[in-house]
Amino acid sequence: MEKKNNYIVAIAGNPNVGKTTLFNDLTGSNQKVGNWSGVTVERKEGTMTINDLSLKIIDLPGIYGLNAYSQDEIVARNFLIHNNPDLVVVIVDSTNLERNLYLVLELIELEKNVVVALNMIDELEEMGIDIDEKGLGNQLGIDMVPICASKRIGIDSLKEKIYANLKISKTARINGNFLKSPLKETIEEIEEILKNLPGSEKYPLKWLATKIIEREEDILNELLSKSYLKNEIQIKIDQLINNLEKKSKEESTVIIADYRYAYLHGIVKEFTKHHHKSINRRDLTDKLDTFFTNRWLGIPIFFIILWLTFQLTFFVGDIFVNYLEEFITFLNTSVTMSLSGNVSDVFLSFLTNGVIGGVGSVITFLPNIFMLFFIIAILESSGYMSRGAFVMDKIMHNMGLHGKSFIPLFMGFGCTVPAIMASRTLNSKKDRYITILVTPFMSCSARLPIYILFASIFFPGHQGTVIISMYFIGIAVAIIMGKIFKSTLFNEETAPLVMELPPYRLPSIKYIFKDAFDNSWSFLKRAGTVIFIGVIIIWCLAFLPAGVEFGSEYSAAGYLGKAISPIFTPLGFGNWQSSVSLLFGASAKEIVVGTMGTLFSNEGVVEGLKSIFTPLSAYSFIVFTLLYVPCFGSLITIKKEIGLKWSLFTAFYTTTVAYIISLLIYQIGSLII
Amino acid sequence: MISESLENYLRTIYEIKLKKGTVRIKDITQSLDVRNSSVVSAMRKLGKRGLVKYFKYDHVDLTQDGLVIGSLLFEKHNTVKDFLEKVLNFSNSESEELACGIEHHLNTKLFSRIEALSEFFNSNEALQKELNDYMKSKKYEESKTLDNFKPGESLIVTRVAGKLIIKKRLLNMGVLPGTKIYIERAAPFGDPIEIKIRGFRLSLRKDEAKSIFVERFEVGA
Repeated sequence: MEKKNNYIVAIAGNPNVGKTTLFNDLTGSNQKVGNWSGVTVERKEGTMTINDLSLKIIDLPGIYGLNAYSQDEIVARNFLIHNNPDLVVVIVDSTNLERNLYLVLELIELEKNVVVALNMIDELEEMGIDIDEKGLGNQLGIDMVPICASKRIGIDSLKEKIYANLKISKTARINGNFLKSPLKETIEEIEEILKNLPGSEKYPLKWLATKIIEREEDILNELLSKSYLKNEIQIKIDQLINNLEKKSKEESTVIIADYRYAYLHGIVKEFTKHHHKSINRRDLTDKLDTFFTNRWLGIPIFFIILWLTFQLTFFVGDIFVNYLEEFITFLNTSVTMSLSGNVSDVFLSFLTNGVIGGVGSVITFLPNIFMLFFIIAILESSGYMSRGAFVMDKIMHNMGLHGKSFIPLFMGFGCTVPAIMASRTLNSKKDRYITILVTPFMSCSARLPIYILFASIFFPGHQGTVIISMYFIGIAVAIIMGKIFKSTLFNEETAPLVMELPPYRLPSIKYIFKDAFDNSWSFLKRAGTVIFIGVIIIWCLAFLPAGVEFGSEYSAAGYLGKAISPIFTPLGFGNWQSSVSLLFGASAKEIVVGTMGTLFSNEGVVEGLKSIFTPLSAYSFIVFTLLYVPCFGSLITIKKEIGLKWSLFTAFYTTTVAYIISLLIYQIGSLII
Repeated sequence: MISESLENYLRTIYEIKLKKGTVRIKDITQSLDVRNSSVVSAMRKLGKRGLVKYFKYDHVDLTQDGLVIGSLLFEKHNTVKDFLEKVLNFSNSESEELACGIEHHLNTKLFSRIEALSEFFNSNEALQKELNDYMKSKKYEESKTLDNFKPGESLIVTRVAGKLIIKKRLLNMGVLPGTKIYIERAAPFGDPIEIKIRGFRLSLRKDEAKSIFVERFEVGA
């Protein structure tokens, strides 16, 4: 026999059962994160060796069964059905066997090489339940290994079983035939028809028949597409199914699910034993839920948790951001000090304003991103996230979004970049896209300095009101745009909410650190280079032609500002300084303030601004900075999350919205005043 | 005379045509929640009777005859549905479902009398209220959908209906006829709800709960 030495092993299982923890246990640091081709579902892949075998491990998105439902489920299902992994490790929550084994049973029907990891075996012990894993495994014709992924218990025996199963490459087969009449006959009759169809040899016939009775049309259509008897066969199969439905007085989809659950219910009962009852984690969950999902307390608690998340992300994160910024300033000064005179001014400016400034603008995002993902990982793995979605769903659903959309939108008040990344927790494409598209309207902290500067100059005594109004305008625009997108761009059905609320569990610190680290790293790697290039381009605009003052009236940027400034005349700020600031502000919004500072360095910012703005045009200007193109970092993040097309769309539509609203404010304001 | 199911197809095509202008096989599959092949074979039968024209690219259209019959069926269906919903107080989805069955057994006489009864109650609010109160006093023990029940109730699933995609997800998770459900709580604004089933917790929007039919489950029984 040919010696095969590169096996593909898929890890499958329901959501929230510890798949990723097991994946980490098995692969350690040998991991690669990418996307499944054509979709934005994250694909995690790693390698490991067991004795003489080297394995490629694929971490599949969580699924409950092999039916096509949401995007990530379709990915997992198609991989299992079409890609033929050499082995599937199904990780199950042993405290909830019946439902978890449903997927296992489907994979057995598919005659895959299956090993089951019975996770959370420690919790099961606490609950006073024993599983006879040998007996249960024999019944299903597969190996079962009790493990505790978070404590790394049982991982070695799991590896042994993976090794053994790969060596013999066996396929699972259930002991005995447990199909009952009339389903049994119907399956046999459909098998008889399918047998002669070209292409059917790729799948086990019995599984195919079951899937067809379950009305998974894509599989039948695929088989029939090549047959010239297409319609005749379809009608014949329909008749068989109709007869089955008549005899069982039940719909075919229900018949199949019912037979699987009836079988699983029986064997779970047979091979588990309750001896004594000690601590029950489910009681703990009940107790916690009386607070967290309480009718009155649920939402206040959610807001407190959000507020804490926000504080930790931006205030703890900002301590490190400050250090980083100080470090970058220090670096800038020391480079300038040590090199000035020795190298040309062009090179020095390139090094300080361009390279160091560019790198700086990338890495200053990192502490916030790390903190955010750290907290999100805690919220997700402890089980709170789905509670948050539960209490907020009604409000968000009215906006055309999902309960979970609240987290990214709220994070948007801090920084748009991590906020957009936080939208990954949303499963439905529609929810996720709309959330990403409206997140830039949540006024991020970088915009605050602009409001403060203008409000203190033009609205003394009313700064607070002016600044708060910015936040409200942002929220209102986000709600309106959300509703518009819901009914125009994504005019498909709303994704249904059928969401499990998993038991509360203590998150594993190691996993949380790893998750936060991975996400920060992936941001640095993919967004970093592009943001860097963007900053360099802006540097070039400000610096060129050689010899002019950096970013002044006579630089390329200055000319560009003059060229575009007439566009802003109807908005009240058709001066070239505003245009230059806005241009630079596209790389990071706080730069608007810095640019104004540089441009008015002679007469002072206050006098300078007073000379070109009235209170009305100042207000129109800050509304524009709130709404117009989100910073370069956000656009790159959007590109990374959902593609270039959407990133460009965001840049375009936000600027359009900003233009229209500022225009309305200035024109209507001029009429009133 | 055409069969009940063909009548349903004809009415659905008419409805889609009203709404969208053009009708594709896919629209029919979706709105009747049936198999593609069933639609194709039904279209062929309707085609033979000269009621439906069949185009390439999976489009269909009604012939002049089909249009006449379709609009009649549509009117009949709506009248019956309105009667069930407004006079007899069935839920929207239930009236829709019942109307699909009843409408085929109406002769003109019965149909016009139902119409009259509908109008009678619609124009007499007081009488309608009296009827409602009377029906309430009767306490019908019927199978209702999950969204009608309150937290703390133990229920048993009698039927899982609804769109195929939601139905399959529910079935995958073990929401089956005969399964026991306990309603744990409702979210702060009353929606979604949380239920306990097969030892785990599941949250559903009321929209999804509408596709689960349940009965009260007597703990002692």
